[in-house]
Amino acid sequence: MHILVIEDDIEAASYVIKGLTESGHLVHHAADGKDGLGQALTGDYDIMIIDRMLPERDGLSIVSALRAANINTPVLILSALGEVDDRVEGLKAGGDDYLTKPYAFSELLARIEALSRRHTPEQASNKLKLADLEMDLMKHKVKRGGEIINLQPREFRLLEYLLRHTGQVVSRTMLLEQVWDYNFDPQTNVIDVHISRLRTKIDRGRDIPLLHTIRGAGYSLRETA
Amino acid sequence: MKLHETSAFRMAFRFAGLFSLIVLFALIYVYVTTLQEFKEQIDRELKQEIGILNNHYNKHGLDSLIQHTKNRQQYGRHLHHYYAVSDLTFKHLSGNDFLTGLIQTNQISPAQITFIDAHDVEHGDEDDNRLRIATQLIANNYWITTGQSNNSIEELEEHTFSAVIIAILVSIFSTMTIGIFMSRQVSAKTENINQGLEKAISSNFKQHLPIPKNEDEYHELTIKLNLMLSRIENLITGMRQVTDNIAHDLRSPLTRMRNRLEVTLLQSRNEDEYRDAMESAINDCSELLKTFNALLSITQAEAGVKRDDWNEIDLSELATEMAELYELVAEEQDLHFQWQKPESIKIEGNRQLLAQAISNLLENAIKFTPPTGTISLKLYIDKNHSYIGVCDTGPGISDHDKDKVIERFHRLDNARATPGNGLGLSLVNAVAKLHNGQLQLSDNNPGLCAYLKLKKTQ
Repeated sequence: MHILVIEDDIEAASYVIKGLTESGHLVHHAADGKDGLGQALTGDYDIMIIDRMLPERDGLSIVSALRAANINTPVLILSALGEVDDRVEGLKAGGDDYLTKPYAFSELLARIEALSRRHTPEQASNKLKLADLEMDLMKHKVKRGGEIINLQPREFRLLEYLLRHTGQVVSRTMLLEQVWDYNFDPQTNVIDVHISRLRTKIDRGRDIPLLHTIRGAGYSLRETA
Repeated sequence: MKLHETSAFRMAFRFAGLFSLIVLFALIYVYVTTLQEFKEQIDRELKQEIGILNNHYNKHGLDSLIQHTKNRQQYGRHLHHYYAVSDLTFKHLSGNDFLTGLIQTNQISPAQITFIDAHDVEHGDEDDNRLRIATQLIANNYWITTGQSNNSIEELEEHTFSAVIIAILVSIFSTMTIGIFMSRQVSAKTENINQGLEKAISSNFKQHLPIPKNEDEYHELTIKLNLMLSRIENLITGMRQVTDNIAHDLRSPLTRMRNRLEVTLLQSRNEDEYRDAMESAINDCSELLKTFNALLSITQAEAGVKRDDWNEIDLSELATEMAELYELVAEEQDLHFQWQKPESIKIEGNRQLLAQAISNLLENAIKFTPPTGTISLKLYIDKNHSYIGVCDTGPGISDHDKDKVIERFHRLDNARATPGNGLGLSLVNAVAKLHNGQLQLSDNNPGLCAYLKLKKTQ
């Protein structure tokens, strides 16, 4: 993916750029708000990572300007520790996701991959499919190998989210945010427990497990380990 | 602070100036109008005198008039009155000849009474050297002239002038004296407050101000200042505690991480070993980040999150969601989980923070309750409050420790072995306070009940 990083902290930016480049992305960097907006308006990017506090022009106003110019590239807003964590304001300005510093790089990576997927227009199909796992969104039914699996409503939403991000790594906080709509860090393994319950239902007794745990990052739904 | 530097003194000084100015203007007005009235009075008398003489002439003729003027001059009342009669060519016929001389040298009108001011008139009487003179032509034949001493006006002028000076001096003196007295009184009170504050500052806000006996505005001010001082003291203590705790609680994981990495570097290892070491370092970092985020959440809850994040929340729905989220976790630990959804209970609040608070209570209960125990999520209301809380059958918290566990980073001895950062209940407490409520800890015999007591929305 072609990613624009607008971040004035050069050291932080260099790690992000290195990490993203090594993960196979093409990264451009802008160190202040003015330059950032210029690049964002002229370049063709798949994702933009924009720090909230920037010299010359603040991050939120860049996002608003982009949206006003009808540029709908997904934007992930970064906000620093100590600033008011105003997620609502960030999303209202037109941001697609919001991450508070300090964050784990794996979290950032997972989120931008999720954002890029969200951005590609989804097929109008009412069915999601991975290998022999099928989800019928209209009938609210899940089958694996033709066999019906009974899921609780929340388990259904969890699996739906995983299916929509097939092949990607999703973090625990992303799941808590997207499936349960909470954005705090639980101190216990609450998400793991729900994942393992779901795993029992869809993977137990199957030759090919689909739901994988990615160490230090989260989970991924895919055919190959 | 010196007296002349105090605002009370400056105010008194300005007030004295203003007051003296007002007195000055008032006295000048009195002086001018009195003088005017006095002059008019003299002119009226002179006019009256001319009238009397005119009548006398008309009735009795010139000789009698001359006699009459002499008589009038000799009466005590007319001692300072002067008369003269002369003919058309100013030939002096009778009376005080200097008057005839005066009317001769001044422009006078034959048609009406003419008034003349004469100074330095030499006629043998030093006291009467200033005269006001009136003259009129009668019967087209004779000038009758009468004069009156003007010296009393001069005296009046002098007296009034000195009276004005004295009055101004007195008013300046008295307002200044009163001003100094008042500013002394006031600055003594402010000085007390100042000294008290100095002591408070040098004692790190431990010492408070002595409360004055009189119940005036200084009494009130002192009470408010004392409230502020206690608040500052609490904040400082809180901050110091947090700093100490951060130093202690963050240093150990950082040291552990550093040691692990150092030991890994001591000798060359294979890739898997390096990978393991780095992964555990990342895990340590994640824990640290969690601690930081928890601290940040507490700070935000304490600072009061912007109210535009607030919505109407159905506590019953929220609790059901939390129950659904944590029921599995409890069951996995072999704990019974109880939750009965009541009818909807709506309050205004921040959904994320309330959810996190409930989650912290549930996580605590799950963490500390031994297997086969029971955890119940409870929600009920009374007249003024909603209560949402968690009861468990764990070890509970002794009354002695109930206050302590709310402090940041405070971990009871039996909790040291479990994972956690000692921030959970601090956050719950901060969230409760943000919603105008409080965190209540009570005994469940055995176990602990922790309730968020929230004020009902009107």
